[in-house]
Amino acid sequence: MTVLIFKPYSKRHGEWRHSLRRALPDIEIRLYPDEEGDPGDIELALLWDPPVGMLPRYKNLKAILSGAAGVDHLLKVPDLPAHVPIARNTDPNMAETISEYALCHTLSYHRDVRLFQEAQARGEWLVLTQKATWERRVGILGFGNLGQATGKLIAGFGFPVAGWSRTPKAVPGIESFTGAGGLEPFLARTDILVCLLPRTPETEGILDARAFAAMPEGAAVINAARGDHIVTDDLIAALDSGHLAGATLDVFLPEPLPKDSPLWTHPKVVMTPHVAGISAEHTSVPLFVDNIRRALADQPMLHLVDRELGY
Amino acid sequence: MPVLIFRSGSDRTQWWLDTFRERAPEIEVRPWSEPGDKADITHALVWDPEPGVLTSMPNLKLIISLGAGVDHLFRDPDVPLQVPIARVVDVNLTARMTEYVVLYVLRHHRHVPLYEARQRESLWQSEPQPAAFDRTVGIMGMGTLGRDAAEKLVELGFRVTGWTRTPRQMEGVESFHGEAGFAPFLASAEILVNLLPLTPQTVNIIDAKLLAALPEGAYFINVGRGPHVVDKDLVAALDSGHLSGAVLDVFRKEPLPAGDPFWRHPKITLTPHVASMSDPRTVIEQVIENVRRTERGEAPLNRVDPQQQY
Repeated sequence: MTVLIFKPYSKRHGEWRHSLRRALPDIEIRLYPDEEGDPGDIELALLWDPPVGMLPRYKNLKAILSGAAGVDHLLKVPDLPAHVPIARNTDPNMAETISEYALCHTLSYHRDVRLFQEAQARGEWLVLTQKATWERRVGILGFGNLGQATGKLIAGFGFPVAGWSRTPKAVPGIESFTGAGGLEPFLARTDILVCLLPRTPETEGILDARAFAAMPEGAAVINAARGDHIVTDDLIAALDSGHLAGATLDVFLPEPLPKDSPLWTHPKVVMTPHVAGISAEHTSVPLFVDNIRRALADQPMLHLVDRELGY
Repeated sequence: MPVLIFRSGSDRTQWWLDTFRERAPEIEVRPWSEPGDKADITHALVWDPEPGVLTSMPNLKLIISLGAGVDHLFRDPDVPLQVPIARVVDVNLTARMTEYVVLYVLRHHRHVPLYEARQRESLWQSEPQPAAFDRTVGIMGMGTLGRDAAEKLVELGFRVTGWTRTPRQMEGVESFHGEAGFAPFLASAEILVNLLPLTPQTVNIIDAKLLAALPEGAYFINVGRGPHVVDKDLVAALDSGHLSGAVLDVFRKEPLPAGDPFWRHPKITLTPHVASMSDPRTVIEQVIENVRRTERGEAPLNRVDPQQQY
């Protein structure tokens, strides 16, 4: 019997295993580390964030399935087996929840939620003029599967939306910026930035002092990708100087964010504990099953990771 | 030359005066505080005028409500009913209301206020996140505003229900109406959004009985009118824990008086009647058009029936 090793990455892993078992009755599912058994049995791995030393022992490994959309947790492992194909999780629930989160926080900036909260605390009936959505430009940094879903949702509210990606992407109604040369003009037209980039060596620290300076005065940043994308000291400096109006951060380096990080208490930072994108069992499992069947039939899996590009 | 007197509910008079000057220099616009000779005034573009003042303007040809609701005009028992009344119809007002409703539904849905409280304690702790399709948003009042908000919430995947006085259907929305529809509508409304017009039938509609019929932990968003809500009943439902929170944009008295318990209530988020504000740049053309029509002796557009009050 083919054996799949499942390293839990969700509090509800019991339900995930149950769904996998029902969909794959001919495959034995073992939980890592307690049920690993003989490493030589293992042909498939479904996981997030493997420890060093885990994967090289699986001499018969045919496929690695990432539990998450991003695969930086795999590619950073120094002993990742070189020739085993890796597939990303393209769970549509991830796109839905990420775009919902991005919309929620985009609207929070657009409608000045923090200013009204502060006014309420002061007991002040605050009078502001309200910009229209068409006067507030939203930029999606990282315009793949998640970025495009988010861009379309936000554009539906009348915000002018642009996307930035490594390669050109044609999405109707959304302006596309590409490559290193496109980054500065993209940032210069972006009042609310939503970062949804994959984490790769090229995108690490992409949001630094220079990037923030390229954005217009009063811009806001929402990061729902990876903590590595932002240079935290540069972000804090841009907030403190007043150049940036605010930042909403769902991801950090490291996580959980240490208690002594200045981000916790910064008045212009809104933090959530890595909850923006949620993969759901009912939408992920069918994708895993499809790829497992392909791998066992020696067909290429869908949504294969290019290790050179990092996603 | 037409002379228009202007009064807004907030402090945006200069924005309006500047916009008039730019778009229709032939109309003389006077702020409410400086009416000059009241006999000069031919048009009034107003929000919530003090009772009796419009009656003191003998040559009014048209009163225009600065906002979709006109209840603020009828609070004046002396409102001159012989003068035609029109309202501003602003597609942008609808979009802004929907933005506000979606924003505060999503903030509650995604536990943002809870995470903000945890941030203040430097506490890294996530909350189980239900899917949008596992949340029911109940909208009271399915007119233009209610329907537009419902459409966006349906698109986001929420279960949406609507309650109206008379039957009204909308695709993708479970519809309830009348007295009989109230209990089943309320029983499923985890997030209740009030978008009713204020009429003698809907004053005080959100009272202890209605709030008790909502599910435990329900959340309330009031973007209708302040007098829809019995304030002390709302506070009691929040204090008992039956309601988990409330977002209030409208109040019985606006600006909300200093010292009102709403200001400091830990479960109340309040905004100063900003959910849907008329933007002079988007509505001024229809105001100008109505001024010109009445100058030519034609009937105004978007006229209000004083009997129906909406």
